[in-house]
Amino acid sequence: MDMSADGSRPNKAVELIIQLSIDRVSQLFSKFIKVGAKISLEKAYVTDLSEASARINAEDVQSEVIGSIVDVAGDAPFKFLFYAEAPTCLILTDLILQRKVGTSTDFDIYVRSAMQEIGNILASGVCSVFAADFNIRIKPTPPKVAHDFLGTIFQEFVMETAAESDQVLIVESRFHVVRYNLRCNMFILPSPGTEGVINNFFLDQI
Amino acid sequence: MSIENRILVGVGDIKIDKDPVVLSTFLGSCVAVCLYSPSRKAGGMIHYLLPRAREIQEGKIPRKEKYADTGIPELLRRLKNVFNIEKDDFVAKMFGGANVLKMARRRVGEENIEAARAILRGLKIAVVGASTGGERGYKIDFDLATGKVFCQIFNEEVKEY
Amino acid sequence: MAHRILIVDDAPIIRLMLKDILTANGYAVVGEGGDGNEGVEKFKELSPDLVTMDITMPEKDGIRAMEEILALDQKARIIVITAIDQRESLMEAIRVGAADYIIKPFETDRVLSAVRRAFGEE
Repeated sequence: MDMSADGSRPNKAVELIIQLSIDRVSQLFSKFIKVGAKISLEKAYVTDLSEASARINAEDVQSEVIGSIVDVAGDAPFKFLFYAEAPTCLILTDLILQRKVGTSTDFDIYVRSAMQEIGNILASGVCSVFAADFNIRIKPTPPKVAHDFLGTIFQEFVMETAAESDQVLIVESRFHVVRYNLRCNMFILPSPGTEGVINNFFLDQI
Repeated sequence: MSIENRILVGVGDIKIDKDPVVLSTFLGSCVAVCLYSPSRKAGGMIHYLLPRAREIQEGKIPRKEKYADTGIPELLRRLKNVFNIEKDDFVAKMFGGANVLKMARRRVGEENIEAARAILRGLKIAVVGASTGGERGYKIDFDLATGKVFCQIFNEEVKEY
Repeated sequence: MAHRILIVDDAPIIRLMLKDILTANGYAVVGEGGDGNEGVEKFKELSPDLVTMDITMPEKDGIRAMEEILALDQKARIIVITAIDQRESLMEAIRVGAADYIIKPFETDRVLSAVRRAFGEE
């Protein structure tokens, strides 16, 4: 795991839970789309959300993406975002429905709900790591899906957390579906205080 | 309008600069207020999250840029300090405040729009252009050479304000 | 006559996947619900032989919907199909009265096996 240029890294307990979560999410994603997927890059870093969102605003893929935002509530709340470029979402839908790739051509309710459900399954996967391995009680709420500019979706994703805190831990992962050369992205944004909760639970277990 | 001169504004931030810079951002329920001095070809953008500042933790002062009521005056203050421009020389344009996630009970976009209008009215700064509301995101490029804002609502054509 | 099944899930793609599995194996999907409230209403309207029920849904979650359905008909067969892979959730669903608890992403065989068992066919 790359602890990037911002310099601040999460503590050991949080690092561990992040790694386990990403392993779990990778398995679930591959199982759902029925094709192997590789996590090719991941970063967990403490950053200023203004800078993080400005960096996202600079990304090339600003034409259109579909993103699924999940609010996870409980002892250690966090926000979860999964998104992919619009053409990738069409292919993911075909893979999930086990149809010939290229069948989906319109951004209909099935494409949107494919992204919705990927967000639901992956966020739930992170919750299961918290619950099973660390005995931390959390549950996902129904995902919110948007088909829009990446910068807009990212702004909606971070705004509640940004309103409460200037510096936050953010976990960024990229999925690469090798066979179809698809790229998808995932962010986990713990609420202020969640890191402390994780650390305390971890210390209680030792 | 050159990409090399583009400066990206993130959530809860203020950027000020002058010709030939372009200030850019993406908006959902957040609102961007752009202030421009035509005589000095200088201006600034605030991208704020909420209408009113609130205490986030005991004794902790939130960053002014995150809120309309503290941030818009802060934008004005920085422009005056850096470029020595008086308030009367500015015009304003505002964008965003959309309900992108289509949540029926969520009014934060509308409240952000109302806050901007009220604060600018109080400061007696004229709003000469605006595109707000709806259910789709905004991409805006504020060209400090001309004061024009190029605004694209998702899936629509770019419009000039 | 084919067993009549009601599918309740807020994701249209999941409803489509389950419908394809069930109809291909001789079951009749008689209705769909997109949230817990719709699920309860459709149950009252259609009196299905079995319900598949998601948990995480808007308006009313699947556990609450299941409680209401079982209050209407304590013999209702309900199979929970959810992304929540947590023991506490499974225990709650079984305690409320679910016949089975399937975790997404689901395999075709797992769904069919659960449905057959619920009908006493396995």
